[in-house]
Amino acid sequence: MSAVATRRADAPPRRVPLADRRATGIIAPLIAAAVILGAWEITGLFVNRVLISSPQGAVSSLYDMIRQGTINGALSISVRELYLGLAIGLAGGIVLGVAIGRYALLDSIFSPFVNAANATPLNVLIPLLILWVGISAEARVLFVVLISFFPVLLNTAAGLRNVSRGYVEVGQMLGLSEWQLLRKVILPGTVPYIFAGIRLGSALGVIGMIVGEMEVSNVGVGYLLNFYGEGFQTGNLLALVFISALIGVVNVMVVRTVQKRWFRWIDAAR
Amino acid sequence: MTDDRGTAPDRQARAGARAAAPATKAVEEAAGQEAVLEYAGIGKTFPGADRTVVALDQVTLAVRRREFVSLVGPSGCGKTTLLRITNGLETADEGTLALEGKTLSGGSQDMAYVFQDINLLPWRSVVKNVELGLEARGLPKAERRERAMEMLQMVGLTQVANAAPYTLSGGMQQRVGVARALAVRPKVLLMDEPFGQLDNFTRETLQVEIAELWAALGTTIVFVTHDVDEAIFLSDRIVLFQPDPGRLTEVIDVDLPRPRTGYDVRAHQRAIELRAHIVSRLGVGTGAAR
Repeated sequence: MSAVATRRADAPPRRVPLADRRATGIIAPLIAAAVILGAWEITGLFVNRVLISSPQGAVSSLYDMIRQGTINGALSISVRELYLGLAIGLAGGIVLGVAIGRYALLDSIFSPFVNAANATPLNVLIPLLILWVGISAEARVLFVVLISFFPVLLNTAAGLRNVSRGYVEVGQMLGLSEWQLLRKVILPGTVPYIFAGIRLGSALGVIGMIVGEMEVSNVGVGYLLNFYGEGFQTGNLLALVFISALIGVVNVMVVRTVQKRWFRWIDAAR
Repeated sequence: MTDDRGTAPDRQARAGARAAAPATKAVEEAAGQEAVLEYAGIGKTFPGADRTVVALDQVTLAVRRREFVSLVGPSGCGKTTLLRITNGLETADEGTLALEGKTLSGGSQDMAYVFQDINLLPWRSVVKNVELGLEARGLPKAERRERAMEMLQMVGLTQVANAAPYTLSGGMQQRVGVARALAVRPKVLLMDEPFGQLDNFTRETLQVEIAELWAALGTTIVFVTHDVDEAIFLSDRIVLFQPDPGRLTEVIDVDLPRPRTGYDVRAHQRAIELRAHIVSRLGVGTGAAR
C-alpha cells in the first residue's frame, strides 16, 4: 500500500500533455516556414526580383503551370521514368547484393567493379548512354537505374555480412538448412540494411531523373528547368524546385510508411 | 530420481575413468547409468596474435540420461566452448563426442541450445519463434503451431503467443528461448548461462521453473553457469573447470534430495558443505580464479 503511494509521489508530474506536444510539432515548423517566407518577401524589396522572385511569384507561377497543364505533362513523364528506373535499379541492386553478400567468389569478382562504379560520378556515362540508345526515355530510365543501383547493392551486401551472429547461430542450432537459414534468418536480418539502401537509392534516383532530363531530353521536369532557366523565369524555376523536392519527400514518406506498416520490428527491436 | 542413484560413486574411480575414455563408459554402465553424451579427450585451441589460448585440454566426461549436469568455473575456463562444441557451433581440435554411442561431427538435431543472449528473431512473433526449429524438421503447419503452443503453455506464455518478442520482459524472452529449444524435443538440452542477464528475482523464478520442467520432461540437461548456488540448486552433478588451460578438475555429486526449493538448499547443511568445497576448489578470493 505504502509502496504504491510512494511510487505515485515519486512519479514525475507530466507537465506537457500529449496534445500540446503534438501541437508544438506542427506549430514550430509552421512558424519557421512563415519566418523564411517573410524574410524572402522582404529581401525582394532590396534585390532584383528576377533573381529571387518572391513567395507570391513562385506560387502564382506554380498555379499557372498547373492550369496550363505544363507541369502535369512534364511531371507524369518524369515520374513514370523515375519509378520504372527505381523499380529496376532497386530490385537489381537487392538481388545482386544478396548474391555478392552471400558468395565470396561473386564478391571477389564483382566488388572491384562495383566499388569503382560507385565512386564514379555517373553523369560521365550520359554521353555514352546517348550514343547507345539515343536521346530517349530509355536513356533516362537507364540513368536512373544506374544511379540507384549501387547504393542498394552495397547496402544489401554489407547487410548480409553483418546479420547478427546470434541470429545465425539460433538458426544453426535449430538445424536449419543453408537455404532455410538464408530465407528465414539472414534475409530478414538484412532488411534494415536494404531499407537504408532503398532510401539512399531513391533519393539518388530523383537526382538521376532530373539530371537525365536536363541532359538528355526535351520533356520532363528537368527539361522545363533548362527551358525556364534560359528564359530567366525565376518564379517557374522555384516552383519546379518545390515540385522536385516534393517528389523526394513523397518517396521518403512511402518508404517510411512501408517500413512502419510491415517492418515495425526494425525500429522497435533496436 | 536422485534417490535411487544411491550413494555417490567413488570419486577416485571417476577420476581414473576420466584418464581413459573407454573406461568411462564401463564405469557408468557398471553403476547402472546409461551415458547419453560422451566427451573423450576434447581439446580446443584458439590461436591468437599475442598468445594462443588453450580453451579446452583433454576433457573427458560422460553425461547420463535424464541427468542435470552443470559446468561451473571462472570465465575463460572453456565451459561455454565445450557447450558450443557439443552443439556443433564450434569444432573441437582433438577428441571425440558421441551422442547415444554415435560419434558426432557438427551438431545434432537431437540437441538444442539455450543462449544467454536469447536472440529471438524480432521479425517473428513469439509463437513463430518457437516454431522455427519445427520448420527445419519439416513438420506440417498445423502440427507446428500445435506443438509450439503446447511449449508456450508449458512456460506459461500462451497469452503472448502472437506478440512481438521485443515487447516481452527479459525473463519472458528467456522462457520463449527455452520453449523454442524444447519444441524440437531434444534428447539433450544445452543451456549456456541462460539466466545470466536476468535480475535476481526473475532468475530464481526461472531456476525453479527449469527444475520443474526438467523433472517433468526427463530431458538431459547440460547447464553452464558461474553461479555456484544456481548449480547446487539445479544439478545432479557439478563439473568444475579451471582456466589456462581450460580443463576439467573435478566432478562433484550433488547428493541433495529432490524436489529442492531455493530456501531448503541454502539452509541445507550438505549444500553449505558443497558450496564451501566448490568455492575453495575454484579458488575464489585467492586470486586463482582471475
